[in-house]
Order: sequence, then C-alpha cells, then structure tokens
Amino acid sequence: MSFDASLIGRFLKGDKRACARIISIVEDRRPGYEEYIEAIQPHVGSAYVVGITGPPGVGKSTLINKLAAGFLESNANIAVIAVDPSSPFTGGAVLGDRIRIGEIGLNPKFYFRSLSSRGSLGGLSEAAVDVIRVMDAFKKEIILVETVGTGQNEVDVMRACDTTVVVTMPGTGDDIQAQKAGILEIGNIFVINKADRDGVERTLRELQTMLMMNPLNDKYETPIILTRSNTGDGIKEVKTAVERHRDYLESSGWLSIKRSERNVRAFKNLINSKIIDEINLIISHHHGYDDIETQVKNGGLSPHRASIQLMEYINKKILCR
Amino acid sequence: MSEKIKVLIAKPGLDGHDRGAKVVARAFRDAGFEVIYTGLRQTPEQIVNAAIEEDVDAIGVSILSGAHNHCFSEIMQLLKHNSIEDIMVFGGGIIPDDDVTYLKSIGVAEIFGPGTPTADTVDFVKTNVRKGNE
Repeated sequence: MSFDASLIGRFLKGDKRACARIISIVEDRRPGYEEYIEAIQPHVGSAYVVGITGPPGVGKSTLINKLAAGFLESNANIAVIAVDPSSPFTGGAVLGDRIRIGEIGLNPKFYFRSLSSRGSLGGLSEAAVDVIRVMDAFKKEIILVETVGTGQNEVDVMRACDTTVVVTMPGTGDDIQAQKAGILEIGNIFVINKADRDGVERTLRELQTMLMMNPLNDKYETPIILTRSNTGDGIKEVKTAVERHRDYLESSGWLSIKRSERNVRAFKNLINSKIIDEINLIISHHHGYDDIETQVKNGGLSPHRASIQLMEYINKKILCR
Repeated sequence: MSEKIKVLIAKPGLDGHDRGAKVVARAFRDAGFEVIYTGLRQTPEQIVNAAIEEDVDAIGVSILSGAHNHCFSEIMQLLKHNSIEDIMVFGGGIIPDDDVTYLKSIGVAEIFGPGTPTADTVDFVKTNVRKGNE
C-alpha cells in the first residue's frame, strides 16, 4: 500500500472519513502506517487524554457518555476510544460500546471509535496509543479512552493516559483486592458507580484504606467519587476531579515528565514488537521448523528442548547477517 | 495484526426485536469478523455516522417493523451523500419479495429472510465485501 498524501490533506481539513481511514491503517498496522503517524506528528500534543477503566458491567460506557456530554457542554472537541476484548479463538469481536451513546452521537464535535484488542501480545497498547495520537492530531481536545481493567495490555493503555479514572461498584470488594497489584496503582480518581446499591459504605471504606497505603502527596489527594451514571448523579464531580488533576499535573510539571516517559515507553514497545516480527520471519523461513513441531506433538521432544534448539538456529541466523 | 473485515449491525426504526440482529452479530464474531453493534432504535443518520466513524466494510440492517423501504432508501441516500457507497449494505427481517426487488434496485446487496442459516449470510459478506475497492 502506498502512502496517500491526499488522505492527510483531507484529515487536516477535518474530514471525518479521512480520520476514520487513517485510524484503520494505524490500527491494522498496515505496511507503511508509520508514514501516516509521521505526517500527523507535527499536529499532536494539544489533547488531554483521560483513561477510564474498571471491571465489566460497572457502568463505564454510560459514565463516559455522560462525561463526554459534560465536556461537549463546555464546547470542547471530544473523542471516545472504546477498547473491547476480541475472542482469543477466532479473533472476532462484538464491539457494543456504541449502544450507550445517546443523543450526543451526531454532535459534530464528537467522535466515537471502537477498538478490539485482537488478542495480540502487547500490540493493543501500541495501536491504541497511536489511535490516541491520530485523534489528538484531529484537533480533539479531550480524548476519553475506555478499557476493561484487567490484564497488562489494559494497564499499558492506561499508562498512555494523562489522568486515569478507575470505576468500581458496590459489592465488588474482592475485586478490589484482586486488582490491587494492577490498575489500582495508577488510578488518579476513583469512582464508585451504582452508588445507590447496598454495600456502598463498605466499598468506600475499602478504597479509602487502600489509598491510605499510597505514598503521601501533599499537593494532590486522590478523590473517591460516588456516582449513578444512569441518572447522571456525580458526573459533574468526576468532570471537576479530572480538571483538578489536570491542573495539578500541569502546575507541578508532572505532565511533561509523564509524557516524555510515555514516548520512551512507546519506543521500547515498538522495538519489542518489531523484534518479535523479525524473529517470527526467521522462524517462518526455517525448513526444519515443521519437523521440530511434529516432534513436540509426538512427545519425541520436550517443549523446552525444542525451544532451545530453535533459539540456537535463530541465534546463528542473526549472527550470519 | 491483520486487516479484519468490519461489519456494522444496525437496528433502525422503532421495533425492539433485536434477537435476529444479535444472533447475526454473534455469527459474524465467531467467523472472525469485527462487529460493531449499534443497539436499538437508530436513525439512518446515526447508522451512517457510525459506519463512517468506525470505517466499516459492510452494514447489516435488521428491520422487522415494516418500514424497510423507507429506512433502507434513507441509508442508501446518506451513503451516497457522504461518498461512501463502497460500503456494502445488506439486510434481514420480514420483507416481502416485491420489496426485496425494490431494495436491490436501490443498491442493497442482499436481503436475508427468516430461516436463512447464519453461515449463508456470513459467506455472502465474506465473498462480496470490498469488491468496490478492487
């Protein structure tokens, strides 16, 4: 596929179809996608990225929809990127987050895009980060990114955001425990949604206890906000909390540190996945590979022994280059 | 990562019978497609806007309310208006044969009536999608 400069031209004029096509190119990692990223790069850097994460069913999509409506009311240009899991077996996915878009769907300042995780090793975060870049260059001022808060991929996506909002709900106390080591460490704002349900005090207490264990920061206190996203209760407070966290990051200088760390991480992730592609290419050209796999299948060779054999071959190939 | 075929499954109009749409969405997913499901009661404008934003290859419209001629022709017009006629449109629902002839005349690729095996729909899309781009 050759680079289409007219697509960039239309993109920079604000053509939604051109933006949609560039997102697809970047998301699919089509050959030459880097050129598109390069072409839009000078226009990147003005968007503020808010990640919203939490277990399935806590009401993230509805919350995001209401939050987006709130930002639209302040006349901001908004994008939502919703990441949904794909089947690890068929690679297929049903992306249903659009269901929650209300009347804001047709607002010309609003753009909603679904992404599937495509079951790739770490690939999700890079692709999602690049899609964020495209939205940024498309003059979106606030980009809301939604992920299901489980697994390393999703944590990586959240690390690409300026503010991370972790959403939970009453009755998921054990969930909070289970998530402690992951997403909770990077939450800047906590939301207990469906706050009219039983057990809200307990969930609040657990979150408070957990936050007390965080290192002290006298400039920023992590808020816990109770919401009911279906009625809209508490949404304003979430919006205010996002703005307050942004002020803190900007005034303390943390925002630029965060962003430069992010660039380094993107670079490292890209290198890692390019190395994996390169090695897989070597393996695909190895005539003896099928034989090794057959032996593993028959039990003639242990998986570990086979991996050592294959690595020896790969090392030799790399040295010969 | 590879290029996936993306299909928008949409339910226009006022009927709430979304079982068919959900079964078809599931069949496409199991065949390895990426399916965007819009949910109920979408206007033609919302459907076409979703198709643009998600950059889909095909739109599957499920409609059981009897308003198919109106809804499909609105969708086809909006696609034309936005210069994205290359997106394939197909449909399903209770649609009389005479209307099927009309719908095909305005550019709908195929209509799948009650009892169609989901595999037929999936195969049709797989075979005919992206033809306009080649």
